[in-house]
Amino acid sequence: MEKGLLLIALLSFLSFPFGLSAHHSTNANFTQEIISVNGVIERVRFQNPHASVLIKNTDEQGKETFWLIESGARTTLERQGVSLDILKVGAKVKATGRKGRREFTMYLREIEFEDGTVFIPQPDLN
Amino acid sequence: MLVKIFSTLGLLAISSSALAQSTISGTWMLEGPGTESEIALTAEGQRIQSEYDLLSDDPSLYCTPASSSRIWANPNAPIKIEQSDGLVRISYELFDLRREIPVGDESDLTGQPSTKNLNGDSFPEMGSSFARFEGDSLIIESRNHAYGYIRTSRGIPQSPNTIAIEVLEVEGEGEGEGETLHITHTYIDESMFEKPLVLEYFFRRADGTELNNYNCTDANYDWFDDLNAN
Repeated sequence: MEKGLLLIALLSFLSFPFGLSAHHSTNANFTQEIISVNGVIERVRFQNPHASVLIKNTDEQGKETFWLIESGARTTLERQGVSLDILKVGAKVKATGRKGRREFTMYLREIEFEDGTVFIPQPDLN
Repeated sequence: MLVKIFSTLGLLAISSSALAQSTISGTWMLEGPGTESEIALTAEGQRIQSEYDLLSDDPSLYCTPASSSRIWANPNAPIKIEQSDGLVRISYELFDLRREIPVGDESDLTGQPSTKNLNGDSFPEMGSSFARFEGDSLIIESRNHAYGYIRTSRGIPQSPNTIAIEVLEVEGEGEGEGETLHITHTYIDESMFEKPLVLEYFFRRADGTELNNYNCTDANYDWFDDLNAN
């Protein structure tokens, strides 16, 4: 009987085209388009509901644009053993992630430092 | 003879209730995708949805639960269920919410929100609730909701007319990590839906996981928009 219920639950999972991500605001706030932005880290915020890194990009004409690079909740990252201590204000980086629906925002996949090292806070998302 | 039958039935009811209490209690983490029935909004429901702007109207931006369904369906945040002194206490790590639900019947509804955060702020978006045990299931009924959003990604609304029924059942063989908490959440609101909206969530037992303080920081983007406006 219990196995039958589990089978029904499993079939229910498979029969619906949307999943966890459909009712998690991350998928609503960020597209699937992957973009990269170069810049200098201006601020790091390790907090809930979203940790974030503020990056200042300066284009060839000298125009400055701030990008907000968001990640998971502090409590989630901590539970996964992730810290943002490696991200230092003033460091030159290239941030890559999912383009936000809000202008100049991104959901972080990875940050590459000048020396080529790469920080990936949530590998499961990549 | 009748006394004997009623005594036996009473004992069965008590033992069944105790069983449900012992198995549903514990810490749980959302596991995998949930399900959702067809959403048939009324004209009023469609109006509210059409006016919803995800980037500014999502109550989560202001550390406010948009609805109980939004709080249940949050990945990576443990939920602890306890029972004592005629109360079911549900602690959600998300937003540091604490929900206290009397076990009884409709007469136990106080009209006051059942949910506060650790600062003592009340959230009528979560409704006022009472609970009862039925066999191995815990059934929570909630009313007196403030306007909110059952689905923040799409602006699916709830209203003060909304009645929400959550049925909590533990499934799976044995005890411990093999168990699944299955919640069927039914929203009834003739002003918003042509037919009841039924959501399902599944949780894995995570009794070793501690709830951390969430200390939510207002997630509005005004400061960021100002940076690029200057």
